[in-house]
Order: sequence, then C-alpha cells, then structure tokens
Amino acid sequence: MSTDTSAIHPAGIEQILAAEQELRPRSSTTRKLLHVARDNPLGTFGLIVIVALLVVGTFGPGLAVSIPFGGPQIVETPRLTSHAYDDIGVGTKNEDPSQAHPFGTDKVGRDMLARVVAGARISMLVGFISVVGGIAIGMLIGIFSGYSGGWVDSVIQRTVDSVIAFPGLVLLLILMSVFKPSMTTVTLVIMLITVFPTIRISRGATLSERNNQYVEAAKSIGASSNRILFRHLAPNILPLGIVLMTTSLGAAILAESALSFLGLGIPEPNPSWGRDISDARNTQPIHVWWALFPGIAISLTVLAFNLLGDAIRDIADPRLRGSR
Amino acid sequence: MLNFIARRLIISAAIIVLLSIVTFGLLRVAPGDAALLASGGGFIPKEQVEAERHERGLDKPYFPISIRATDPPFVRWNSDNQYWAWASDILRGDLGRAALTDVPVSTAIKDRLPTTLELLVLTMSTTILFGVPAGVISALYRNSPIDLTVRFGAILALSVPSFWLATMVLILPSEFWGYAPPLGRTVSFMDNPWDNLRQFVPPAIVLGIAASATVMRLTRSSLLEVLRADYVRTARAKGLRESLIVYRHALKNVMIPVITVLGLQFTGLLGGTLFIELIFSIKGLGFYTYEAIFRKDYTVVQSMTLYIGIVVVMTQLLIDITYAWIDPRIRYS
Repeated sequence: MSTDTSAIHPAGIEQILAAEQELRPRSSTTRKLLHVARDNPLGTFGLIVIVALLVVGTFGPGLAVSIPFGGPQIVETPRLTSHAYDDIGVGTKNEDPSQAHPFGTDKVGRDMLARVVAGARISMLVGFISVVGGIAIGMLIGIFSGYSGGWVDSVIQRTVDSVIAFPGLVLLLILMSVFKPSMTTVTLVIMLITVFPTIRISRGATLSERNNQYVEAAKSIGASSNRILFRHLAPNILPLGIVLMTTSLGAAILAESALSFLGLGIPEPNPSWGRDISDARNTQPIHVWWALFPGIAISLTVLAFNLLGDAIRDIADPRLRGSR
Repeated sequence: MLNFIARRLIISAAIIVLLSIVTFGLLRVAPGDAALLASGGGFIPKEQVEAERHERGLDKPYFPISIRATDPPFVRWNSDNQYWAWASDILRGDLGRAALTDVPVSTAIKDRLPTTLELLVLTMSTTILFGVPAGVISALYRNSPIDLTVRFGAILALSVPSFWLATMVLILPSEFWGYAPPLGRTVSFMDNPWDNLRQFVPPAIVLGIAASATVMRLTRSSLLEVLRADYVRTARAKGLRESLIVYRHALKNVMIPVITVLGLQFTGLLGGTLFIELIFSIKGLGFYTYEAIFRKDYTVVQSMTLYIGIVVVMTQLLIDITYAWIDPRIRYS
C-alpha cells in the first residue's frame, strides 16, 4: 500500500511538450499519442485495463436509466453477465468453475463472475470519488499552506506529520470503527487519509514554485495574492495532481478491499471483492475458487493503476524515466 | 546535535499528546455502549449497566473542558473527567484493564510483544534480504531483461493485497497437499524451533514481499542517481574496479535514503501485522488491537494506539538522529 510520490516536477510536462514541438516534425495528435504509447508499453497496458474495468463496471451489472420526458419509469439495460450479482441459487452452492459459471458460485449459489463484475463498479466508484475529492482538498490546503508560510504553515505541517507517521491501516480501522460501515463512510474515510500526504507533496511543490521569477514578476506588477495563487501557481501545480491521482487510486482500491475484508467496509447487499475473499476464507470447507477470482481482480486493478501512474510520472519528469 | 535531539523530542511528545486526545475523542463518539459491553452485553438490566458505567467512570465528562451550545455557561471546566483519569493512570504506568477479561493491558503487551517482535524481525529481514540486492542488480543491469523482470515483479508485489496473498498461502497448500502450519496457539521458538518457524516464516514472507518492493525501487533509483555523481566518475577515472566503485563508494550513499524508508516500512508493518496475525491466527499485538477495536474496548484501544504512536514516533526520532548523524547538513536546515 505504498503511494510513494517523491520528487515530482510539475513543470516537466510543458517543458517536454515544448522541446518535442521543436525537435519533431509536426505530426497529428493521434501520432503523438501513439508515440507516447509505444514508449510506455506498460503504462498503455495499464490504461487499457482501466478503460476495460470502467466499461465493465458501468455496463456489466446493468444500468437503471430513467426516462426524462416519458414519466418516472426506469428502464433496465441488459447486463453483460447472464446472472445478476445478487441472484441467489442460480447454481448449486460452492460450484467449481464451469461453462455456466466461469468463476464458480459462492456459498449461497450466486454466480461469482457476476459478483466480480459488479465488484468492479463498487471499487471504481469508491476509488475515484475518494481520490478525486481527497487530492482536491489536499492540494487546496497544501498550496495555501506553502504559499502563506509562517505559523499557519507550521501548524498544518506538524499535524500532517503526526497523521502520516501513524500506520495507515490502523488509522483506517479506528476511523471505521467510529462510523457505521456504508459506502459513504468508507469513501469519506479513504478520502480523509488521501488528504494528508497530498498536503505535504503539494506544499513542497508550491514552495519550489513560489520562488520562480514569474511569481516575482506578477508581484511586481501588483497582482494580488489570490490572483498569483489561482492564476499563476495553481496551473503549474495542477499536473502534479494528475500524477498523484493515478498513484493514489491503486492505494485507495486496496484500502477499500482491505476494510471490506475485515468486515468494516462495503456492507451487503453490495458486492465487494474484499468481503468475498473474507467470506470464502470463513466458509468450511474453504472454497478456493471463491477466494481466487476476487483477489485476481483486485491485483489486476491495482497493478493497472500502478503501471499507469509510473508511466505518467515518467512523462511528467523525464529525469526519472525508467529509474523507478 | 543535542539541541537537535531536544527539539525533536519536544515535537514527538506534542504529537503523542495530540494523538491521545484525538483517539480518546473519536472512541467516545463511536456508536456502541462500552458499559453495556463491559457488563456482558445483551439483555442486562438497565440498573446493572448504569452501575457498571458509574463504576468505570464512564458517566463522567470526557474532557477537562466541555463546550455546550444550548445553555450557559457555554464553556465548562470539569475537574473530574475521563481523559484526565486515564492520562494520569498512564503517567503512573498503569495502562488499564481489558473490559471483558479484566486482564491488565500491560500483561497482555508483555505476553504478546515477543510474538509480534519475532514476526517484525523476520519480516524486516525478508525485506532487506530481497529488496536491497534486487535493487542493486536491477540498477547495475539497467534496462536489461533482468531489470525489467525485477521492476515488473516489484510493481506486481505492490499491487497484490497482502491479505489475499496470505489467504492463498494458507488455503492453497491445505487444498492440494493437506498441509497446514500449526494454527491457533503460538509456539515459542525455545520450545519447538521447527514448528515456530513453520508458523512465522510464511506470514513474514507475505508481509516482506510488498515492503521489499518499495525498498527495491528506492535502492535502484538512488543507486542510479549516485552512479551518475561526479565522485563516482572520479573513482572511475582513477581506474578503480567497477565492483569497488559500487560496493565501497556508491552503496554507502545509497543506504541513507534506504534506511529512512526501512524505518517508514517498519511503522507501516505495525498495521500489516494486524492483518497477518488475524489471518494466520497468531496471537500477537495486532490481533489484540483488532479484537479491541471490534469490541469497542476503550481502554485497550486507547492504550494500544498510544503504544503504537510511541513506537512510531520513537522510530521516526531514531531515523532523524541517524540521518543527522550520517549527514551533518541536515542538522542546520
């Protein structure tokens, strides 16, 4: 569960793009993208997996679409799987993988393929909402802290230090024991623990950015603090946020599954990869297939985000290319 | 140097006090009734629960200062409060007792510490044994198939959830070969070294794999950076053997960030042991904390949080001091 995000230089992207424009003959955007993809095969693989997971997560369990003008009726779109994740008894209990149930069934005869597919939606939802929210809040506080300096900065930084020092998993557990487990609380708690490292990193970026000449130039023509913060500093620190998001998403999805595994995460009837593993473990006799597929799903998802995160970091800072 | 240590000590103490206040408050807002749990839970007569609450002092105000928005005085001073009672016990060295079993927390820590410590030592050994050499090899054969394999392996290790890996390590051998490590009770190394290792090595490797991936990545990137440094070029220009350059000159500087990360990994592992002990049913401190969190056992969770907090802060302090000692530039920044 490592979100190692040291040494990111947000100004990197612009510099590379500018350099590339000079060096390469003019080419279409598609060709440029293909170039980037060819240079980062692992990152491209990650991106493809993520897009596939998003599609599967969105359309897999079926969508309920309400029709705006024809009244309040709801139309269910067809599922990608032949069963719903909560259809009890579509197979016999603890079935091994077969043609009818490629991933087998669980202890109440639910189709595991349908559950793994529906689990993708939950993981992605919790992951995206918590990380986007957490990074946004963290960056706002971090930029504010770094720009204002003085005792405000000290207080914020000491608080961040003490929270970061504490083992993340224990912190998650204590927080979740306070709240009643639900999708909202799980998302909020993961958001909360994403905020703190983000504060530290974006503060560092602000500090190094603050001393640049363009800030001095803006000050000298009489720009207000707010204008410097939002018009000059923020756009330069924003690419950092994108890097942080990709690297944190893997960690967020791991955190959700870990909480669900401990029974403090997503409650029934929602499917969760982590809870399915724990349910499989606690059934006698243990049904190996039941625990296997959700685990592969978690690993593949987190791997995809880690690969994409590494690739984006390499592009953002070419000095680190291939070094991590 | 003394000044530096003193300053860090004061900050550490402040962090611990802050931590204790936050945990204390959080546990009090948590749903669930500690008095009801302590008196046995379920259908206990109300008077008995209230008596239990009074006896444990759970009816007192939480903090020395309480704020009430409804009626004046809005800010009250409470001389008799739960936080102060608990904190003064702690300062006297009394960590309290578990609500359900009435066993003193300090006894539980003393009984369970060796178990967790052995797990941590084995895990840290795995981490160093896998992480550092893999990082060095990966950096020396940069962009070769070996490097790519090691790097992909590291990303994979960071992606696989340790609780799933642990579950698989337990259930796959039992499914296919009918093998299971001794479960349920903890075997001491002194009594039966073989059973003890059978019990502790698999969880240590599972925990160590993810940690060693981080160490590997850091070792690799720092070594690559150092190998580009001027002094390494000078060493090469002098005609030193490559192995001498790497092991004598480069690795020494690489170890500084690696030691820091090892320290961070150590504190992270305190959370990891919680899972691993639960899955492998090793009765250590992690298991103890998990049970207490689930049972809403205020005293135990508070004391354990404080305990973990102190270990974390002391590790941090130790790293800072080592760091400042190795690299004098840090002391003055």
